[in-house]
Amino acid sequence: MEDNQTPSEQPKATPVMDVQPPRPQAPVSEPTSAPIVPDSSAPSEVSSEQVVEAPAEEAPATENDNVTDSADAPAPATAEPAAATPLVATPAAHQAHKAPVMAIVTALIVAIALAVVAVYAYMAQQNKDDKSTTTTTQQTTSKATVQDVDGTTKAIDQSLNQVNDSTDFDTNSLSDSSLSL
Amino acid sequence: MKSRIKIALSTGLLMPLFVVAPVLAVDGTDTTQTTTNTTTTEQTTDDKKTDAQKQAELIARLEKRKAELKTKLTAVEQKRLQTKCKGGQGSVKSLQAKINGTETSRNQVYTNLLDRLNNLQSKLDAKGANTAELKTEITTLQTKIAAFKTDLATYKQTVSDLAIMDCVADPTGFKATLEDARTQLKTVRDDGVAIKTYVNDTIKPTLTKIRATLDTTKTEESTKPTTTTGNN
Repeated sequence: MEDNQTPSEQPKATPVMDVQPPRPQAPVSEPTSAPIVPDSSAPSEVSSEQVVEAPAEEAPATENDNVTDSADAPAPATAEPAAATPLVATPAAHQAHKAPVMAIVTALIVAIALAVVAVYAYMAQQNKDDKSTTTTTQQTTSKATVQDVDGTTKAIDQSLNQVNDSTDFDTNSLSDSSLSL
Repeated sequence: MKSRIKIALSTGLLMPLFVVAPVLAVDGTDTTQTTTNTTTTEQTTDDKKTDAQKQAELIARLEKRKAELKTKLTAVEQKRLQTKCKGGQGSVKSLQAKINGTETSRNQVYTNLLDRLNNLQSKLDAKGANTAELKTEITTLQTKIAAFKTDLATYKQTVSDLAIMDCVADPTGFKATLEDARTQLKTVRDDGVAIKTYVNDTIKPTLTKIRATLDTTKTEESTKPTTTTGNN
């Protein structure tokens, strides 16, 4: 790339290549072997700059028409994907339409699963409560003792002493005399 | 992007409904059924009987009692009743209040009695005592108490008829109802006496026998550890 450049083009390129242009000229004016050593390092610098500058040239490609052929090359390359976009757009749009449907179906499945789990958990909890109630009732039934029998007999006596059939159901209450008949 | 946010928001709002709604639906089923059953029972007892129906039933009962009346009233007796029955109905109304009070207290006493006996029987079963005889006696007592309640309800109905009927227009019906009430009063009284007698003469001796069994078992249990200690 540097070999193709003429001395007249050098001032234009100075802002970009501020160090490299004087080095190729050195072998031409002084054919000594001493500058050869930096010359070996020069191509490496150039190559490194090309690698770095390559992406930068793609972006301003449309702005600078004075750039070399290599800079013009990426322009058609970017145009090709733009032309191909409409061809791919139909399945993409189809996918875009499918996405909400899939989301709704997924949400429904999750909702049904949650409902089933909630009902199952509720029923299981209720069964557990019933079992615990039964267990508690069974635990309260203790074994009878003599005191229990005595207590029951005493309570029965007290209950029966509360009622008096003679006064509660007095046959005189419906007699002719009591009704003034 | 906005539509996705909408979907996410709506899903987030609806998701708790899917969790809570089924649980509430399952929980509400039993409550609704209970409420419906209670309402239906109340309707069958109270609302279904209109005044006309009640009057028709009263007339039917009066006719039945008049048919069962053995001695027919003379014209003099009818006139005497027609002049005095209104005052008698006032006394019957005060008797109604007394019957209601007696019914409440009797129900409490008999319910308490059965609860205590059933509780003791459960404890005796847990102890391993022989409660077959006590179980049979409790069942018999329950039958006697049920008969008492039925007879008392019949007696209450008859006394109510006696209080509300048109005794001036139908003195024979009043006399027949009064005779019926007197018979039922004796029946209810006999039921009460029978319950008391059964408890005193049948159930209490059974309890005494069971107590003796428990006492023997307790003595045997208390002697066993002493023997074991002596051997060691």
